[in-house]
Amino acid sequence: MDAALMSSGLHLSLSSSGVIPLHLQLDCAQGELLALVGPSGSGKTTLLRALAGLYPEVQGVISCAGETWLDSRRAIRRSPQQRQVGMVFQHYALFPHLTVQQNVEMALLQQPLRVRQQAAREMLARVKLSGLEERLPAQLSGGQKQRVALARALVGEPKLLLLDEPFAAVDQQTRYKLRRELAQLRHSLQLPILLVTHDLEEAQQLADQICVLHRGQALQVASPSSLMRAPATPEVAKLLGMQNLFRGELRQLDLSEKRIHLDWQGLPLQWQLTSTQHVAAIEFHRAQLQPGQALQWLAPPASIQLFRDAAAAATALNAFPAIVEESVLLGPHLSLRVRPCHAPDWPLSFYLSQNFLEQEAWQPGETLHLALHPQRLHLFLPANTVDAREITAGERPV
Amino acid sequence: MDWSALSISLKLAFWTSVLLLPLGLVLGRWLAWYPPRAAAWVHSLIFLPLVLPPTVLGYYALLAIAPDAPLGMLWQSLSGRSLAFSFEALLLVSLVANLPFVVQPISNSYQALDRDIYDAGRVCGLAPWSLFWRIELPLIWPGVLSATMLTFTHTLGEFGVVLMVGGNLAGETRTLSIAIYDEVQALNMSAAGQMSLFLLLLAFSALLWMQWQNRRARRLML
Amino acid sequence: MRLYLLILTGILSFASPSQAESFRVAAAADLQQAMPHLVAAFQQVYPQYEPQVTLGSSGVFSSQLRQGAPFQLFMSASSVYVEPLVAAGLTQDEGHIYAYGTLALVSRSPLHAESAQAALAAWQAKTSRPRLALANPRHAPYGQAAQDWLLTQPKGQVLLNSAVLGENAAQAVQFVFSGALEMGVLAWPLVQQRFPEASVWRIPPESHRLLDQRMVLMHSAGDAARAFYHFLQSKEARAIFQAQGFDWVP
Repeated sequence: MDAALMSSGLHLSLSSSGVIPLHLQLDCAQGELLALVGPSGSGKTTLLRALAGLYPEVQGVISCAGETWLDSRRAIRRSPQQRQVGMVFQHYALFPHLTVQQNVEMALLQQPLRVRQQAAREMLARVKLSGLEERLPAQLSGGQKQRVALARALVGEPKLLLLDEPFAAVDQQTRYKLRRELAQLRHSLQLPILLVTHDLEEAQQLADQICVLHRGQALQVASPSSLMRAPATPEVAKLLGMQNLFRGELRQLDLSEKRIHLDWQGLPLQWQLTSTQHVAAIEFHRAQLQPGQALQWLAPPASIQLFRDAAAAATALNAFPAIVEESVLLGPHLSLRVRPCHAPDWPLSFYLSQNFLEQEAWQPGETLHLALHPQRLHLFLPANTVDAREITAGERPV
Repeated sequence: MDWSALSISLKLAFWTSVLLLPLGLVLGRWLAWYPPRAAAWVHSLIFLPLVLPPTVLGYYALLAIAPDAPLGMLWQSLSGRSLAFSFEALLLVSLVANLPFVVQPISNSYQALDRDIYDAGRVCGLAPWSLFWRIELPLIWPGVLSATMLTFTHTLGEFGVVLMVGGNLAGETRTLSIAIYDEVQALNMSAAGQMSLFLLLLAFSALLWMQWQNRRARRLML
Repeated sequence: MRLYLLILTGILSFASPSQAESFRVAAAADLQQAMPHLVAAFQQVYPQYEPQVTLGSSGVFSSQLRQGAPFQLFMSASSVYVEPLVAAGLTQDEGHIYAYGTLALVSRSPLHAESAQAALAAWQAKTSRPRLALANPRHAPYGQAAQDWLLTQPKGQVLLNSAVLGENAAQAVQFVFSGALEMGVLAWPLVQQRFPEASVWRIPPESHRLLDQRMVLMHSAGDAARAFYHFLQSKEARAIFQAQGFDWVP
């Protein structure tokens, strides 16, 4: 704890058994942007409110910038006023009766009037709102409101910035623009930033780390790329909206070749380990990895290769024929759903890009040949294999 | 025009509004934001004067303020005056009778207030007192205005309770509405007509003013 | 805030306390006409005293006085409502009878009748649903007296059952005066100067209980109230009472 206090980022270890449960530990370094994703009701907003001191029914420890904001055991609980948090609320929560300038000044009330006015004007200029100081929030567009909220959150030089779905209430065009601006702005901010979003794309674009929340628990915290490449559990994969999750049976471990043989409904599959970490993980779980062990695995879009005929497919590993069941054109993409001939109950779904389409037309009933790239498949190790039925499709983030 | 009665009416309406407002703010906020487990009971209790005949209220008030009742005795020992048939007794009953008129609009305003705005104020570092003055009060202002105006005009118009508890004492408990009743009984129709017209205009302009203020406040917010 | 200031200045400007020493008088409603004359004559002699008069039904005053109403002088329309106060020790003495009241039958439209009895019969004969105005017999002496007289009349009980009851003697008069009702059994002092002779018939006092109007000083009475009490027993006051329709012998 003391070591954690010494460093200047955000550290939290919280639990709550309220209506929305929380039970998690997180760290966020200065200058780091941590995105919280998860289905609604997963505790994202509750976590933000707990950090701001707005959700009192929570136990544990929160420390930020070397200060302890919450320590239930030592009966430390700072009020929201004492925490120096900047927060952008989901619907901005601007003070509707105050002008833009007054809204921003409100975060500096303890400062002398002139300092306040000057600082507010400078911050408004920084978020490109100069000239709108005297407007009321009702006279602003959604994007302008969001910037006022951001200016108000930042002007008090907070120790922590909390963004609760900051782009949810604006149109798509504005959303992209505001995202770019935030991406630029954040590099000049030396403080931990927590971003709540239900938009995985947004999290991938903006975050250094993504935390997948479900029922108040952090299922995985990872960089966007490693999260998308290797979700820790089938549950995380489902929460992230990943398709093509299957069950297989372990046939053989071949650690000298860094290879794992699986059986998928009668089809032999090979998984090629690509890193020493993988090997170490396999070693760690070796006791459970006996032949016959059921394992879940994932075929990410990048692992699926397409062949027009069986002869071409025969040269690839993990190849099998499949019949097109559904083919829908979605703008520049074709969404395909195919049923493997050996396992018609386990359909695969994936997208093809436009330039692929010009060459081929894939009609329902047509046979095509697929192969799964052995290095790009993802295998869930048994310790992490949670019963995936817990997650229903409706809760999946978009 | 019975100036002394008008003065008493205005004094009663003024003190009722002024004294009830803080109570209404506390109660309205509490009921809207922190509804107690017994909220149904509290609501029913507060709204009771709205549906009770004034005579029922008057009856219990008479019991409470009698010189040998606990409240009457307490008042007597504190002020040296009898509470029965005094302006203070009238004010006391008026406070109870108007409680729903002040609690309801304020409670509604608090219910309509986005709690995130209040929380934004807290995160901005505003102390509870600043929060109240700078955020809550301006945002519930239409409700406060309605509460005050309703209480004020309703007190001006109160008759039954005033007659029962006040006893029609000139310069003490004879309000304008009682004076009108007196003049009508004395067949003094022109005096009654003057005072009635005055009350009519006063009440109407107060309500009109309130409507304008509310519309202005709403325009400002939206 | 601006509104409050406005109202505050309003209240301050209206409430100019009077210099004279004032005292409260609870007076039976039948004194409504006589009271201004009595007060004016009294203040000729005692300009430093100012009676604050409340008119109402004697029964209501009596119960209010028992609850501590701050009247210093009670001018009842009947001894009946003074006696309990005396018995309860709330008064300075047993009081004094200052006048005797009488009743009159009043009609809005003229009727050819010699007596109250005849007028009532004539009116009943030509009216399908006769409704009489009188003071509430539950607590107004004039109402009780009216009830006594009506019960001596043919179909008197029927008339009583359908009567409209005024809160006090004055309100009963107002019901007829305003045109709401055609006929009433009312306090003579309140009607003698307001209705034409042709539509008013006095009712013989022996046909109803005695309206012995007693006044009494309460314990709170000071010099001013006492001065008024004594003034009301003076010759000058008696002349006014008589002119306003009161008798001073039964």
